[in-house]
Amino acid sequence: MTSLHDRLADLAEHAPVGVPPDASSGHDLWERGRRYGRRRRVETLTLTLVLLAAVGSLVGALLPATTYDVGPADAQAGLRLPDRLQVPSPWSPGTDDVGELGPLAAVVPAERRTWTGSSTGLAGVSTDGDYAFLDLPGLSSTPGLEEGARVALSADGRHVAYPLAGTPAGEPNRMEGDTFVGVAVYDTVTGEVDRHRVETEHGIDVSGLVWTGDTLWVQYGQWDQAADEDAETGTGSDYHLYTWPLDQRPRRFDGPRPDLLPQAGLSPRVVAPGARLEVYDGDGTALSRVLRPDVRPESPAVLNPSGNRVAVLGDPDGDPGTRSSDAAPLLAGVVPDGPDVDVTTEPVGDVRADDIWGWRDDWTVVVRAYSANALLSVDVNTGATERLVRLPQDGSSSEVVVAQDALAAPTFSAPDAPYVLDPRLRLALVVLGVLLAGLGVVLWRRRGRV
Amino acid sequence: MAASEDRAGFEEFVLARRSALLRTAYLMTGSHEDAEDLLQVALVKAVPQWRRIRDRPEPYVRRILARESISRWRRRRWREVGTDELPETGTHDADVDQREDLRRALLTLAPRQRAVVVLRYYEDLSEAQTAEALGIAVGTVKSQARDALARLRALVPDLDEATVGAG
Repeated sequence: MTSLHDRLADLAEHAPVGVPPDASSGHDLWERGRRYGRRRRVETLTLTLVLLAAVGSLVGALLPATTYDVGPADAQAGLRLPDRLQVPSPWSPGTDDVGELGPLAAVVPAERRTWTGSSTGLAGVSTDGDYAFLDLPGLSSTPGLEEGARVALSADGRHVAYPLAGTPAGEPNRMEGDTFVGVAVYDTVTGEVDRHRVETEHGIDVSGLVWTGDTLWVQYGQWDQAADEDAETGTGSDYHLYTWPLDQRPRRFDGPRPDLLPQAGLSPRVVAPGARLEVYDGDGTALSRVLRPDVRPESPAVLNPSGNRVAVLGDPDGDPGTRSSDAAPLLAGVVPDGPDVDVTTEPVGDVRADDIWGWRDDWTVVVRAYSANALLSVDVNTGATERLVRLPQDGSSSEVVVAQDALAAPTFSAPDAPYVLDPRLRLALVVLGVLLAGLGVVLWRRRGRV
Repeated sequence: MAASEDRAGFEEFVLARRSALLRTAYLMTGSHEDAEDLLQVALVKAVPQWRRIRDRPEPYVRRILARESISRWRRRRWREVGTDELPETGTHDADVDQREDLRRALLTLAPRQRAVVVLRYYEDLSEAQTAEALGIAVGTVKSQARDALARLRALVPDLDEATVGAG
């Protein structure tokens, strides 16, 4: 009886033999082995370099997109005006992630995406040009940018006022989107949000928010029926004007011109009934001056900080009977002394503009020109024009809000808004990286085994 | 030790152990040409590691032989077509017939089963040593050996009389 070992040994012993080995075969194998070893080292080095390059490239590409630090809020930070405003990445962080930005030079409505969907967010632009979405409780997230126009940024960039979305006592007036039930003010330094809820059955329609100094002016009316009711009596009550000084509670404004919101940034109160301007002192109730420009503009004249000049856009086509969307000629005039004066205006060179945003100083007005997609500063004495701020290219540019004091602040070269990688893509890349690393380890071990 | 001494040691090892290793390679491949080729590859791959293995080179070379015989099969798909019945050989020498029956039966095994059989029952390695040489689990060695032996017994009936040695 033989064992399997013996049977195998017998088979191996009787295997056909080739050329018997000699010393030269060992020598030849040694040289081949040396060459093989060198080739393996080169391959290993190459593979290592390729892997390092791949990992380095991946890390290099991902790091800027994953790490985005925003400095801590500085209440004393002086406003600076970025020379361009951009729509940030929809994946940009929010203030809940990076903290408060501090006084804001501007706010920009922008699409904000999450893992499950997207909405309209409000991005703050810090005095350093950092961007972060403002995580504001009760901010409407209804797609569409129309709500952005109702956001008001205080002149010093410290406070953001916005309509407060919520649930009314009864059926809401709006079939879709958010219903507003009040107004809130967000402190860009402390992050505190002061909410003012209004008793409302169907919600309110906020028609305007304007800051003059530390006072917020709010104009709204009550919806008087639910969305599914027949419109028999109209859709809302009268609109009323309210003042909300910081650290106080809002109260109904019962002074003159209670239907007119003041011009932004001018303290205490300048309103524009028709073509003229009325300046009120004190708490906004004491009429001190009436200015009567010699043109009947389609948009109100704007008074400069010292109250001695006005800028106004003339009729684009010279026909008072028609309205035009074309850029209009820019006019300016010196305001004479006196409580009730006529103001003679003259064209500022051949400058044409679409909106007047405010004054940079007493002689330099800031206008918006759609053709240049920018804010321009125009010297009303000489007509000299410079581009002040480049605006975002897409449709949200019309909803950009700039702090009034920032219009007068020094400009700086704004950095690019951060590119923030889609976290879903980031996860996919990480998974891919792990798989590649795993594959590399497997290959490495396989190479090391034999 | 200088490189020349390494080379001398390697050449001495090749001269002394080549025939034995070639027999192992033959059992794993069933072909003298393939066995020669397999052994040369194993020895060439052992050279870069020689300084590390020079005190006990044979286990390392044997490990390369075993793994290379399997991976070559994977690359070349040179697995022979298996059959449950061995063909008539036409020879009448009983010993030759026996050897040929066993050789053909081995070739019907999967390369890893064949390597397990050779290492366990020809090289007399333990299950743990076989597992380490092939880079597989001990349990896999057991199952592969069981399946391989069952197949060999089916194809080579007189193996039933043979004692399965080693262990």
